[in-house]
Amino acid sequence: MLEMKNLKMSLAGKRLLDDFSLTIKEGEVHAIMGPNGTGKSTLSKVLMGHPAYTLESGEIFFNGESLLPLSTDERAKRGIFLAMQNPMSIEGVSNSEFLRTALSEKEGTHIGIFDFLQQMDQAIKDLNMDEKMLHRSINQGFSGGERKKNEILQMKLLKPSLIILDEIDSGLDVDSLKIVCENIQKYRIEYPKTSILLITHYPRILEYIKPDFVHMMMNGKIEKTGDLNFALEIEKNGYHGVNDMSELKLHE
Amino acid sequence: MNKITVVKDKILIELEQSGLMVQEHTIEVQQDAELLLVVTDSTANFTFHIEEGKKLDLSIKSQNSENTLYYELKKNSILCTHHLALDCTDQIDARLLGEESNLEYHYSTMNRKTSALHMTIDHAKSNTQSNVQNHGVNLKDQNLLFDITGRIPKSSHGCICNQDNKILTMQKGHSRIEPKLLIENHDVEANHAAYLGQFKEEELFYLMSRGISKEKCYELLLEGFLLNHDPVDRDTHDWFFRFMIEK
Repeated sequence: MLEMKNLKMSLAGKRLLDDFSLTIKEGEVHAIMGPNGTGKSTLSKVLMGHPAYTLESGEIFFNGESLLPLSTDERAKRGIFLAMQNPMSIEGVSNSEFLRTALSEKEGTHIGIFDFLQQMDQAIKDLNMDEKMLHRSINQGFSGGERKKNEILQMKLLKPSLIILDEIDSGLDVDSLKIVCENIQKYRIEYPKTSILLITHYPRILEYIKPDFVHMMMNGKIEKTGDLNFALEIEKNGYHGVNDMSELKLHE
Repeated sequence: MNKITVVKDKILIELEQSGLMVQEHTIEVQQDAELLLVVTDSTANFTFHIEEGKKLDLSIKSQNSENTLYYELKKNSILCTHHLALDCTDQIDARLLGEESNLEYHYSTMNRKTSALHMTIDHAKSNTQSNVQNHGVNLKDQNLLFDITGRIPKSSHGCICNQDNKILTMQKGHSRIEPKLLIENHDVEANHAAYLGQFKEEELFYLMSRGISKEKCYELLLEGFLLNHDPVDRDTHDWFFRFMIEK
């Protein structure tokens, strides 16, 4: 599904990805944990093709195709979805126009307003959102929790095969976290081949979305890999206090 | 819908509602009314008197013209204007002459040749309100100026005077905003916001990350920036945005 090989990237003189390698197979859930500034969000932007985050070297393959020549929208059309840590608010562009355009571009045909609203109806209910948000500007005046739910709403609409969740749990209260995770789980049951790369600071979300692998990322690369217990150990002992006993084989 | 059309300085007046009196270049609003003013390849000059307690919903479509528009608002009157301009230089003066009068003015413009908006809002009476939103897109390599003045004299209190001015420069044009608030009374609310620049890279990235092509993203962003939920009919929409892709 996704293969990242020896990624190197610097920004403003700081090495953010340093020979980073990771392979994610179909249907797998990988969690990445690590201190602030260690390159986790950088990785998500590199994968999505943010123009300010270009690689110095390395290769990324998605379903056997190199991602590097592809623009951000082309990567999204291939089935990659990034739920962002801080989703943008965009004045003047309504959520409905945005989502309908995204769906039309994906389907390659114009989606009428009636068909669109039908598709949105259940997803909005599932996420316990107010349908009035469709007519407001993108994320404008949304709380942190509403913004994250809006990301998941987009995910449900666009039906990606690789989901990158960049700190989807930050800014969410306990109830909202549960709703968001339930929706992701429901999506996984419906589309079991979907892979997830989950970036987080807290193991709580991993209790809802069980990872196959937990990676500790430091200084731009994966230092250790384990399972859910490894995440709990990180929470207990901190990134510098985890012992070697928890280390599984590096997942390559 | 009442309509005044000016093409190459020739005026055609079509009134379907009572309540509007049009004499040469002066429009008297005696009842609540809607009016569409279309100006093409002309130099137009109009004065609007909005009588006490009346409301005018005014839509303006203007292309390749120089317009001077003068508005007088009497007590408790309301003027709501959606003004779309393409390659125009406009002089707009609004005088809030009656207490509780209220001006809502949305001006959206695109230009390929040097253009300017000179606007003055004069809060001549107390408890008057103005909300002005001027958004421009400088498409090529020419100049675009917004020169916007809000004035509240010492004798006017309880006024609200807001202006929001933004210009996006798409290529190498020179854009300038000169916002001025001339406030002599302390018991008022006055704000201005000014932004000159381009679309934010993060906005483009966010939209593109949902599979929307760059060209379509620009369309969405420009439409949001220039119309910002203002209701326009399909013909007006197409007329306005066709300009963007014309050579």
